Amino acid sequence: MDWTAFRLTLELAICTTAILLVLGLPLAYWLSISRFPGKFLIEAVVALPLVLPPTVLGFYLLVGLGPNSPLGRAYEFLTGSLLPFTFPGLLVGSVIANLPFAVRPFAAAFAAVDRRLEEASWCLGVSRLATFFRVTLPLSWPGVVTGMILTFVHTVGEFGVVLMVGGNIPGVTRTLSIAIYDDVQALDYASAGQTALVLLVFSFAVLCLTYALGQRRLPV
Amino acid sequence: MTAELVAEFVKQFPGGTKIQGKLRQAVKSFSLTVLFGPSGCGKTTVLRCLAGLERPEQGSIRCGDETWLDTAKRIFRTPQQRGVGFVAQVLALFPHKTVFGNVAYGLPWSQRKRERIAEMLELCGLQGLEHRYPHQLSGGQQQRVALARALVRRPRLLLLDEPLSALDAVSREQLRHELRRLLSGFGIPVIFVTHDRSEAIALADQIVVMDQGRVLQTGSVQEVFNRPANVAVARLVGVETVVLGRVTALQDSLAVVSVGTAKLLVAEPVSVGDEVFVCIRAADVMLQKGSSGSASARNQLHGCIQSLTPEGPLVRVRMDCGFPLTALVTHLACREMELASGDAVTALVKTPAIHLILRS
Repeated sequence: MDWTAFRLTLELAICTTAILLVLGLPLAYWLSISRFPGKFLIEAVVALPLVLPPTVLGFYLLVGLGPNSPLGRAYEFLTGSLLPFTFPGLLVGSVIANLPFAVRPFAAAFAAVDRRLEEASWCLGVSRLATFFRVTLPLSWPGVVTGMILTFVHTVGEFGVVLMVGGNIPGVTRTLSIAIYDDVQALDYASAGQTALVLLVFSFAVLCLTYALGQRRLPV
Repeated sequence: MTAELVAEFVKQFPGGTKIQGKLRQAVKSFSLTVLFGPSGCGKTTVLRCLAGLERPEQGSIRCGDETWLDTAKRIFRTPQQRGVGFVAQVLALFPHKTVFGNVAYGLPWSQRKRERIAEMLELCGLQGLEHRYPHQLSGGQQQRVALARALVRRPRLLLLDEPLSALDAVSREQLRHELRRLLSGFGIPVIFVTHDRSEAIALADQIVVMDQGRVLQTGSVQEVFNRPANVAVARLVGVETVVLGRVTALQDSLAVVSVGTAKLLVAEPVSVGDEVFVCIRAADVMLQKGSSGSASARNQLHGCIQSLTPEGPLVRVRMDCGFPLTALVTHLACREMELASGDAVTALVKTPAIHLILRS
């Protein structure tokens, strides 16, 4: 078992989940309440990583973050290093690839909250932001937790995007799923099997937790 | 000048529905205005515009010296800035908070005194229920929690949207009187939406009658129910008899109105030749068996009973007196006079009980 890869995978999953929580909550809330006519475009863009082959997504990320793209140049100018084949680059790719896994459950949970409860809160003098934290979020937390778990697990298991954007650099971008691939290539089936089993058990446990949460209903 | 709430606005919905709101109310002390009209006439929209939950396309709302809405000057105050209490028809209690948590919710932390909330809970008859969740309360209790939650902030105006509609008939009648007593103690103006006629009569100081998105008449209960401004209002407030007639003569400062084959004496300022709608409330019609009238009423109409329909404690009697006329009598009177379909009766109507609406 490759413990460096294990630590790296965990780091990537935690960072991705945290970033998507911060970015995903407002985006999902906006999607759940907005009547903006062009909303379908945003929804489609958010869902795109669900249907695209990871290699396609990875390819565009590689090109988009590379030293010849404006984004890549800006990052190089600010930090002095490049995005592809580094951990920050991997993180950016991971956040984009996981967008639908976070935003869609968030948005579904927010949409299920009765808007009239929020209106009641506004009429009680509570600001929109405070209403979100005191009414909307407490009533939709199972959906938010589901989104976070899905993001976390999906990041742990991501392969294509990681390989395309991050490559396979031990200790920098080599995650567990890539370690398995490497082990198999090297015919080290014992090590691959061990890692695979860990991932299998982990994923199963997390999905059990998610569905158990889904069964829980708030008394209304 | 007394401080007033003055509102006049138009809210337009996609699809062409237009809701017009127009009202005026003193805001320094308690008084209760009822927005009355059938379901779907726009009462709730008017209330939501006053609360700041809807933004009218046109018009203005002023409360005292504050402007809440002025479309010409692009002024719009949010619900948070208006300081009104709003109780929606669905009540919208927070399901994840206890009774105490719900009532305390709108108070800033600095004002969250246990005594203040306890006092409000007691006023609303909720003591002992502090730790219950909304789903553990009866409909009436939920109702009072919603009221307490709005009132504890001492709003400058309270808006209630059919607050009693979720209750059964018995507790509704009981709560109606409690509600007025409770609200009058706070000294704040109340605007109350209902489609229930008896609720409107029991509660209102002022009634605003609405239909199809328009305000038809505004006035005291007496005025609106006894002197409806037009036929639509007469129908909405439940005037049982509304028939077309013509003024044929003036005699002793009374007008003679021909209706069908009958003639009525009416004490209203009209001129000969006017076409008028004659409005008679069933409760103002007295009945006598047979065709010999002896009472003092000026209008004695001979007719025959067409149908008898029991309605709660009363019986609705439909007659043909040369025009269709409806009366309400008690079960007792009905039995004593042995009224039956086809019987000849005399209907007695005093002149002031008849209201005329000019046909326009």
